Amino acid sequence: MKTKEKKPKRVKFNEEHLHRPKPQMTWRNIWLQRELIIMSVPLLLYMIFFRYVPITGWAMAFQNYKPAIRNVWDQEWVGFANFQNLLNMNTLYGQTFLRSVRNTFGQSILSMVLGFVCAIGLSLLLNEVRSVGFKRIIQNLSYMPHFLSWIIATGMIATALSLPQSGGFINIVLHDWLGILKEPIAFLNHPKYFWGIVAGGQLWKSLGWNTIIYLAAMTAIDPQLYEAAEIDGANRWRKMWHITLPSIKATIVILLIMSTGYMLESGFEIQYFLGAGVNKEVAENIDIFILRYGIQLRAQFHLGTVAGIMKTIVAIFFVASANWLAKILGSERLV
Amino acid sequence: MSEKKIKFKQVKIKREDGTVVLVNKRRANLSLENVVFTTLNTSFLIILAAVMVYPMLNVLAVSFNEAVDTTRGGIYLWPRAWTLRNYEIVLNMPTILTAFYVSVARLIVTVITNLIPTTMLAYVLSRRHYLFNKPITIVFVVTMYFNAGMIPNYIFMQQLGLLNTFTVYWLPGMISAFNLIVIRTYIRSLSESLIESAKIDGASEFRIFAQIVTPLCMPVLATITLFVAVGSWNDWFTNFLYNPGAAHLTTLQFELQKLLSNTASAGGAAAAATQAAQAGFGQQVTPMSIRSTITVVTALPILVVYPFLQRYFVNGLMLGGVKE
Amino acid sequence: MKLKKVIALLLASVMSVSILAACGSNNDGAATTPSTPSTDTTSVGTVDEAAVEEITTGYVPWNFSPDNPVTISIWTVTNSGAPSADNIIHQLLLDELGVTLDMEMTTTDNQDMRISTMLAGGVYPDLIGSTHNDALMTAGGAYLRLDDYLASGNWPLLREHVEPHLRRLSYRAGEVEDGFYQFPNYNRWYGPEIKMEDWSAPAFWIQMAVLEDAGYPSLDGISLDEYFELIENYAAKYPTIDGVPTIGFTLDFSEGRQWSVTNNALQLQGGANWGGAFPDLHTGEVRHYITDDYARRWAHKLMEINQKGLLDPECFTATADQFQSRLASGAVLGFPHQRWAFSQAQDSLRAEDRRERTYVPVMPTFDNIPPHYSTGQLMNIHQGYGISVDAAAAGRTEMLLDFLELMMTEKWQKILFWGIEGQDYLVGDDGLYYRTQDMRDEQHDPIWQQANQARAFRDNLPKRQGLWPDGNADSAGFQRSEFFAGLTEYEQNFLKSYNKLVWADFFNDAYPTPSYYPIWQLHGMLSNDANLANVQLDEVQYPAFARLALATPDTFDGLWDDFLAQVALIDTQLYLDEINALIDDIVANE
Repeated sequence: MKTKEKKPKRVKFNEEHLHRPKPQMTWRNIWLQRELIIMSVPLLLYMIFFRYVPITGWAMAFQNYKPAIRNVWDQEWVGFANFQNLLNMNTLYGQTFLRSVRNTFGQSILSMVLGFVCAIGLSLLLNEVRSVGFKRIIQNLSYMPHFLSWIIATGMIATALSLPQSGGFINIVLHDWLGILKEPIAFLNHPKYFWGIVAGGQLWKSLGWNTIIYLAAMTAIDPQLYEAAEIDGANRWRKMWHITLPSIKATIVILLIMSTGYMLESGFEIQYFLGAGVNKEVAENIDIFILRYGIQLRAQFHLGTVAGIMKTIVAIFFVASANWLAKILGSERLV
Repeated sequence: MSEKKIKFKQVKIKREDGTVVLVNKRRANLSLENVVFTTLNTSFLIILAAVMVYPMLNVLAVSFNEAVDTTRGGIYLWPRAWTLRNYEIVLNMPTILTAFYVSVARLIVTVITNLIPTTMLAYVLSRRHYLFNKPITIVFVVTMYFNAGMIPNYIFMQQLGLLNTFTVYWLPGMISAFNLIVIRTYIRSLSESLIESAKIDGASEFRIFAQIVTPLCMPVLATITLFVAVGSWNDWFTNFLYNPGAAHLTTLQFELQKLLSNTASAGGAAAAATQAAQAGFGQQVTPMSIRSTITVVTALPILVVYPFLQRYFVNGLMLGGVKE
Repeated sequence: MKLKKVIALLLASVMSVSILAACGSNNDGAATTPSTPSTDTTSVGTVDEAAVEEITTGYVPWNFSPDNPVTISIWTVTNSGAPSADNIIHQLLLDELGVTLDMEMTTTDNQDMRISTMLAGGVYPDLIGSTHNDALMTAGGAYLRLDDYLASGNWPLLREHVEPHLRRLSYRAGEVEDGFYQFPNYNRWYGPEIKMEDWSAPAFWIQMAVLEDAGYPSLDGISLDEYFELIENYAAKYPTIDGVPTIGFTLDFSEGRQWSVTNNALQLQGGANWGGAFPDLHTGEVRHYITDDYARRWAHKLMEINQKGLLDPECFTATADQFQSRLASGAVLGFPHQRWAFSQAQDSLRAEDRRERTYVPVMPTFDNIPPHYSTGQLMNIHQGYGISVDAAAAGRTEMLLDFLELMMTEKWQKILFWGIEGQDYLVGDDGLYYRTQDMRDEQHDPIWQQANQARAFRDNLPKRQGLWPDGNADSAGFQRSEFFAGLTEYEQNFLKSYNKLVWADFFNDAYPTPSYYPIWQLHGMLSNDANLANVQLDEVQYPAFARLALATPDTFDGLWDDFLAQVALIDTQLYLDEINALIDDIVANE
């Protein structure tokens, strides 16, 4: 209740506040802020302890790591040899790693493009719905997959893609009912579909959820713009194209930029659980490479760690670029 | 744009007042084109929603259908041969009950240990004059983008003695940088006057945080609670990596993972699924029916609380998320 | 007030009585336990002398009694479920011996992951029950070398268990000291092996109904084409089986089991179950066969039957559970595998009394080469319990060996593998153990198993397989009288039609193998790089075979060339060189 009263004041006050000079770093000021320090520094130390200290483990990227030698610092140091091994395209490891990089980008770009186009499209259509009740029902149903775990979602995706006798409803609809397919397709037996399956699965899970931000942005559009267009004789399509879409352009751009920061996260469960066998070569992304070749197969920890470090470096580069781009475009940054 | 606005208003004035305009609009809506559009749009959205929801309903139907009958295919939205046998078997598996209790306990502990420190820190970081504001923020935000990696983390947890403990479910992930930023942004958008006046009254920072700021943050905290709770409930990897062998610490999602992994599964639910296919039960159980049933058991708690919480998260997401 | 006092008094007296009773029974247990090993083991002749020796060496074993409780931590790789909290066998261990087993179980598929993380952490439980053929945990320094302990003579039963095979069990990779580390768990036979079902030989299995329908055709010298012809004819005749669409042929392509598909390339050219490489029949030199012409013909055959619609289209994405579940539906006509890998499905079909849907082994080959599928029951090495270096550091080695020694006694072997007399089996007038039908059924109930069997614990435990002096087999599964009592009329007819006595007779007579057989058991003795090359070959050949099977006649050749190109990137020669050197060494030391 209180929040409602305060809301109108918000912006004004913040602006005043912003102009107050920041206090100098002096012992006196530190003493004055002792309470804030007590409240934050332990948590800072906690974070450093749990998130930064383990990075010392990266040492093994420069070692010929043997688990039998218990102390990390007693291992044999090999400099950048592990990095060279992983980037050597004449070895199976090199080729597999390169393949995993390609798969990561392929899967995430496809998934990103599909995700954006569909979320924007769905938001536009939902925005055209006049009945509030109907709109709310559709929205709530479409959010639901977002709350399922990836384990559950992957199980459902596997079922959906299977043959009709195993309950594969995609085949049931396309073959049994509509007759679009001449023969049912065992989708998971064909590597050419796999990236599409990854993108489609992620789309199913996140589509509804991703519309939230666009719909919110659309509520901010001045209704008079539509009324004016109506009088000019614009139909629904034209209004969507010429008013709604341009009005949410800023939101789209920011989200697009921010999502490039996550280019190296192309998902895990679908690829891990459904990507064995035939699909292996198109499924394995960097995360799975690390798990499979760095850990599961003969405990090659140094290789897994090297791949992890390279992924981190590239990811930080992407995030930094995205952040920089967002700054140029004048939107709020994270730091 | 403004020209059009004026033009529009002129039109409006000519036609007396608002009611007239409303009539006009309604008439416009009834035009053939609009009717076609609305019909197409509505049907498309219904089909889409059906596609979204169908896999879930199908799993529900399969879980109530006799296992052998399911293998004959043709189960869509409604069970053909009703049975509660799948649930009887699943709920009699000792692992599933343990997993359920552990999942619930983990959720409660995680939410509490997550929210209190994150909110407190968010409050501190919302104080713009705080000297260590920027360095602390950077230390936290950077963690959003990198990770020491599985094995270094594993060795670290081992050294701390956290393997095969309940603690590992909540302690290492207590503060998420993303949630921190969301709450901080929200607090910054609140009025400063209350905080300032409390300060003048001599209230300590901790009191301001606990008694003034936290109550004001309830909308965003509800959202974060939902995120943290869902994240904790849905996580299987922590269990898979740190507690794979501790039967008393198994979680529902991990049990599902075992059923899903493309392997010679065994132990716990998966083994029971195949073993149950043996003599005593005959073919009353199949991996498909067991998986569907455990899926329902696992997803149900979330889908039950979902309607009650859904009004929060839409607001919450907007509050702290990306601003235009 | 008065009433309450009375009740309190009553309660107190009842409690004291029950405590006394408990003490009494405990004392009984304590009194009988030490004496049991000697009475029980008199039957095994050699042990008595060793027992005498034990006394003379003055070694005092750990006093296992409820008054001296001890907790033993165990990590074990098993496909069995976890014991329930009130498990009878675990309770018996506690009541009689004061032993609590703190079990951590890992499924076969998660084994690689768990071993890796355990090695990374470097902290181990008392007993490690790994089944990793490449002996990754030994190379990682997790196991304690036990040779000196065995040589002391303080553990005669354990020593007897490994002594005849000690050389074979003791070869190690260069980085680890040669020596004995793990007690073999299965197929250490005392006396001749009992022939009933051959659990470890690969085969092409076929439904009895298919053979019956074809009029019991001769299976000797059958070709792969003839095998598929049988399946094709039956599938054409019966498009559904009990309402479920017929699946002509399926494969177990689940993670960690894909070798059940690729290894057939060797059996089809007359090889035994050597593993990924074998000594060439002509040159004697070890080579990989997966790139040879026979392998290509096998892959091509899979492609052909897939084109005919006989291959299960979902076999490449099915889990091992789903594979067995499909067999259990009775609609699958054939598949290649080893008997243990589908025992649940076979049991399920038997229990439902659909015996005609159960499977018998067939041994097809190319070009009329004589088949060598079976080599007799092969003893496992690098599989089973060993003692961890951490337990040794904590001074628990002797106690753990005492415990394992105790588990090797006839009394405990029978408790673990037969169960408890009266509950799990009855003793006939002839002294032979038997089960009633109810007891047999019970054994298959998973929930009953969790409460009444110590499956997870016993899977990796050393077993005395063979006949006990009283004429009983080590477990019900090898009890001949039990086997024949369990046969239905249909099965008797079937066996008679083929003039066989037991299922194992469908295999070739055990093919004599050299001392270095099989090569997959040598992996634990290779360097890490050599094993890595071998693992890489697996990573390439499995997906390749799936692709080849799903190919079309036009794309097959191209895919085969791609596969060869990928294999060329792997240092397979390193692997082969090490294997050859190892074999030379073994032969030289024979």
